[in-house]
Amino acid sequence: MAATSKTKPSILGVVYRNTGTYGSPTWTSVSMVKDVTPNTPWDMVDASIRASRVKLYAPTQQDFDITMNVLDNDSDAGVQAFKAAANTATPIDIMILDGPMSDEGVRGVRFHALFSQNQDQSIGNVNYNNFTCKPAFHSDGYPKYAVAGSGSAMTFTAPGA
Amino acid sequence: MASNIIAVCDYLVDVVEAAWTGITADDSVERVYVAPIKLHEQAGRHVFIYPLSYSNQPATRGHDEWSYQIGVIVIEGYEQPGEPTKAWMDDRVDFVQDKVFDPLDFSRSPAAVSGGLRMLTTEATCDVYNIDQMIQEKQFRSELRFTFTEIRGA
Repeated sequence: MAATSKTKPSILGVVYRNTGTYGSPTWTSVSMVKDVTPNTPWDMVDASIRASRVKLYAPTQQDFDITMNVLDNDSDAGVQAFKAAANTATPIDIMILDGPMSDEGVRGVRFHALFSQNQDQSIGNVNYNNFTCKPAFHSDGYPKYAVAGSGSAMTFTAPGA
Repeated sequence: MASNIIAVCDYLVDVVEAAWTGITADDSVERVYVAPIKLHEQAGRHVFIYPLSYSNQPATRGHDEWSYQIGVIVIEGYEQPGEPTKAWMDDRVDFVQDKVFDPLDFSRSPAAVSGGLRMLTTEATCDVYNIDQMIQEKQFRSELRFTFTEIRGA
């Protein structure tokens, strides 16, 4: 079945954590996630030549820089997994998609994420964990783009040409 | 399924009943839509809890943050000759804080309403008494208004 033409509310985006193995993942959504900002900028270096008066660039390395805030909850396994990852500096395999993986055509990234955490504990707040996720070295695999196909089948490809 | 705000009102009734030690057969705590007009002719002290409004907005990808505005009236007629005394009024003012206002303050101890993750009191105000009711009807009447927020699964 082909992807459907429709608007995509951000609230339907999903942050998954892998509770299986890298090669045979079990994707579990973390429902306590509120806002997510996936930044994936390329470093661009000068590649100008005299044939053009326009500055030309070439991509070199790409960063995955994901921020998300997550409602704190002592009994939610997803929240606790993220906090443990932040506390122990141990990367975990996550996938961040702009929709549920059951929707054909949704896209995102998958990588072993190192978590950093901060909280705004202002007196009138309930606690949200503000996480920043960066790719970690991991021998199981390197950061990938992810695209959902039919039947929640995910295709992963390395960034760049 | 009962609406969230009715469930919250019923929960608040239970909280006030639990806090109110020494409640007599003439007294009552109940969820209402309209407080009985002739209440000042009845004996006892009465606490009425009623829904005012609610709203919600997304809190997480899987949960909403609900906000409930709920009103409370505490009312009791003065059954003695003459005007209500200062000591009699003091007792009722104390009651409102001790058995209603403070027990419904969940700002430091989130309430566990069935179906929700937590409920906090974010605003609470109390009109201590109504002077017209006191003089003309010989009645203590205190009106409170609460705002609670609660995280619930969407």
